Amino acid sequence: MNVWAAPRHALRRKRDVSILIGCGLILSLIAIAGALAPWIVPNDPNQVDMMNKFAPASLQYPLGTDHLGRCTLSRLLMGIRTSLAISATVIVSTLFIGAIAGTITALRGGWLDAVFMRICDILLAFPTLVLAFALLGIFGPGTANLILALVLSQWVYYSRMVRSMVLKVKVRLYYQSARVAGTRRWALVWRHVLPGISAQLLVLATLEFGSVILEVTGLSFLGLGVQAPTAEWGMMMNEARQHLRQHPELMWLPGLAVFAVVTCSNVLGEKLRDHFDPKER
Amino acid sequence: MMDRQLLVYVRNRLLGLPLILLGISLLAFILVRLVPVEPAEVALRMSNVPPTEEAIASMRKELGTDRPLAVQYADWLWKALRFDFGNSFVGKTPVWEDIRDKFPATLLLAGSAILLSLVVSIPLGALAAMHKGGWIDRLSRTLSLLGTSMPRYWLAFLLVYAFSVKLDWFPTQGRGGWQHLVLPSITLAAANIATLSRLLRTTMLENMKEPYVLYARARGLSDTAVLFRHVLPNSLLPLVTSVGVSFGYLLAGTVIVEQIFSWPGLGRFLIESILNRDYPVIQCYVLLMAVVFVLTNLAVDLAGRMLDPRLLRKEGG
Repeated sequence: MNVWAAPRHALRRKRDVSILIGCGLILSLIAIAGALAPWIVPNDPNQVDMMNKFAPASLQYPLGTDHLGRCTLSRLLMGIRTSLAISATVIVSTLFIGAIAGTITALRGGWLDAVFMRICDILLAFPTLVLAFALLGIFGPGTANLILALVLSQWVYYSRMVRSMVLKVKVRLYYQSARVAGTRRWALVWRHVLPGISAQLLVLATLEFGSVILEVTGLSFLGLGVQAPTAEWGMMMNEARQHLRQHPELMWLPGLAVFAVVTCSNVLGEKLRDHFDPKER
Repeated sequence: MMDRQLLVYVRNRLLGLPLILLGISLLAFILVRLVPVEPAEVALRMSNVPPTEEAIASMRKELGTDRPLAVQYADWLWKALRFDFGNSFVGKTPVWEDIRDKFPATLLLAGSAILLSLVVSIPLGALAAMHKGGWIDRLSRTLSLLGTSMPRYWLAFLLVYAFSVKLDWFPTQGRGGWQHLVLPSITLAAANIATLSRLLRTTMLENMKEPYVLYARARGLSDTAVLFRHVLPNSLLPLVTSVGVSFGYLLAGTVIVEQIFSWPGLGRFLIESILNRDYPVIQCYVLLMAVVFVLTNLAVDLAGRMLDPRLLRKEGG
């Protein structure tokens, strides 16, 4: 038993860097494939061909076809656009709102901060997923409503995180010196607060990206998000579910795609966190 | 002395509770007022009545949506306190009766998932901490990465494919004996096992740096005895807190699992209601989940402070 021995740091660091680059590379390749999808898909992803249902892999359909005879590879590629673009929109919007609300309340303090914290208490009393379900129930299913529901149910969480990050910057010497030197408020925020928390924001975004993808595809799987016939990974899983016993092969690829992207962004997030904040571990 | 601090803490938390509950109820009430279409119209369409001017006006009266908002809220809250949430638009039955009938199935599922995650993650986390850097630690690290990255619906599919379609060990649908509980519980527990086992490992490794461990080792206790008699019991508290908090998330997480395995609980009912725009059901579900979430968090916080008075001292009473 070697519990109390010191870890071998140098060795680990080197391996970590290659893992980091590897995951970043996979994610970038997938993102590029998504961006180029309309030009590289072998077939029209929404072209129904009832004569060719559940076709096996062939030259024309490299990964076979689904229950409506649509090309699986084309749908997977187009699915990158929907799944990842929606998740990215959600995470960028929540971070944006969170950064603004968190910075303002932390720097202002006083009654504004107090009122904001009480609102947070109430909103955080709902598990985020429950709030998202409720909002989708109110607005109705759909892509735009899915984004709106996720942003509205999660922005508080990010605001609180940013608020506590900014509070830590506020007591740092460099911030206080800048303040005492009479730096204007905007310059304080742009030159001192935001650079001070940007690394943490990046880590937060990367770590949370995975769980946002899981939520987006999960809600679409339930039929509450992206609607047919748009190709989306969760939606594809939902359609494939009906044919589980006869054609389980349709379930493999969309799930594997989500799993791969989420794993990569989780690993990337963890490595980035270790890099910027080595004491965790 | 400690007891007084604890009492003050309990009192403060309990005093804050009604305010939070009031806030929750207000939000649940407002949510339904955000509806882009008129509730009276939805109620009429659900009953296959053509939404004419007169029909809408009389439905508004029936639903009470023609009165000022504050009056509506007070009335709604007063009824909600007596578990009267009105009738569902679709089934025409009292919403609370439907929810009450379906809640136990969801509780059973979430409870068995919690049990399963404890049974797996305590040994896994403890062994990983004991053999830090060894194969079991690396295995638990990989498992935890897989557990948090695996989409629930995909894990469910893999389980069904392996254990129902290929091996035919467990049923894929509905509720019945314990066999029906196995696959849904594993699906639900996977992510929880991942976080809990890593949490236990981290806490144990932190505790190993404490002076009491040094003392125990100086007394000549074996490493195993130190770990199991001192470090492990002292590391369970964060686990308890985390389990309590995750309970609320598990209840919400059952939605996907219930949908896949046709489990007759609240989650399936919710999805049905969302697709039917059955607003009273959605409202009642949200309120119930938030209340359960707040109460479990409160219970866990109180239990944590009773078990570890140091937490109180850190906060300064």
